[in-house]
Amino acid sequence: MFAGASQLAAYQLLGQESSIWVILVTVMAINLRYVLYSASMAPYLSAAPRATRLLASYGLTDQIYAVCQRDYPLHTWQLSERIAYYAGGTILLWILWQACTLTGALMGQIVPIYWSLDFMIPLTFLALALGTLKSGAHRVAAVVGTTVSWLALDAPMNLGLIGGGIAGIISGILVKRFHS
Amino acid sequence: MNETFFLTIISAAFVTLILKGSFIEGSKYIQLPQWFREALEFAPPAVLCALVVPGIFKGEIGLIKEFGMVAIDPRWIAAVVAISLFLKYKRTIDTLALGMVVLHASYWGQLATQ
Repeated sequence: MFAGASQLAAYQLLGQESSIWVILVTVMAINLRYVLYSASMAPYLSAAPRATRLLASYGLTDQIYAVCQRDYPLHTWQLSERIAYYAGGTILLWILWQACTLTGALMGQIVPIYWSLDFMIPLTFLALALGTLKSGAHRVAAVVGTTVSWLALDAPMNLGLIGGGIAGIISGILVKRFHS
Repeated sequence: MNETFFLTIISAAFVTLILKGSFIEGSKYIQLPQWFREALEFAPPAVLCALVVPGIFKGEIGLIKEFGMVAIDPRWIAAVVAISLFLKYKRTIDTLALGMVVLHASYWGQLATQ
């Protein structure tokens, strides 16, 4: 589905017998940022034909957003040039992505279980999460998210995860509003 | 590999495509509401942290499945070390690699001494 963090999350949750709804809500929460990217790319791409727009939507990633957001305003490009720029980056990324996914799928069958490579998923999220703690409100969101998720660890279908996410987001917003 | 697996992946892909296409495809003139922007700001720390917890406290890692329990779950030790390392050095790949090394070291160390 060409969205790395949410794919890892879905994989971890599938292994923990979560309900499909919990997995979908989690994927949605992790991928909410794409709505923001989509909104800021729209002025540059929405004049393109439908098929191109659909492909561009599918290919939208953190990386292509970052470079286009930086370079589109700097140039006076035609629509076709903007599409070519977008496609160049996305196709390269997509090929690498698929090659790595295939390698992983093949290697995964050879690597012994005791290597415990599964543990790299929570480690990855740990590093990603710690990288987002840029303000006090963010830290509160993280602590509340962790605590609620831990308290509700035995909730059915991994629902504690959704509870933790929502509680964390709300407390982050409240702390930010209280301070300003 | 069963039906649920494919159903999950396909619907997750669909949801993702809808989010990505929301504005490129659809109504370009709608402004994102304020509460949504705020929720977006705090979704990463809240959701990612909530996601780490079951990964560290739920289920069992391959090591324990294959060679048996030890006194302290090696995931806890690895997580504590990884958190301290990342907060100090902010290096993602190093944190991952050292986290895995600590996971194995703390497991085999405990197994050898028990």
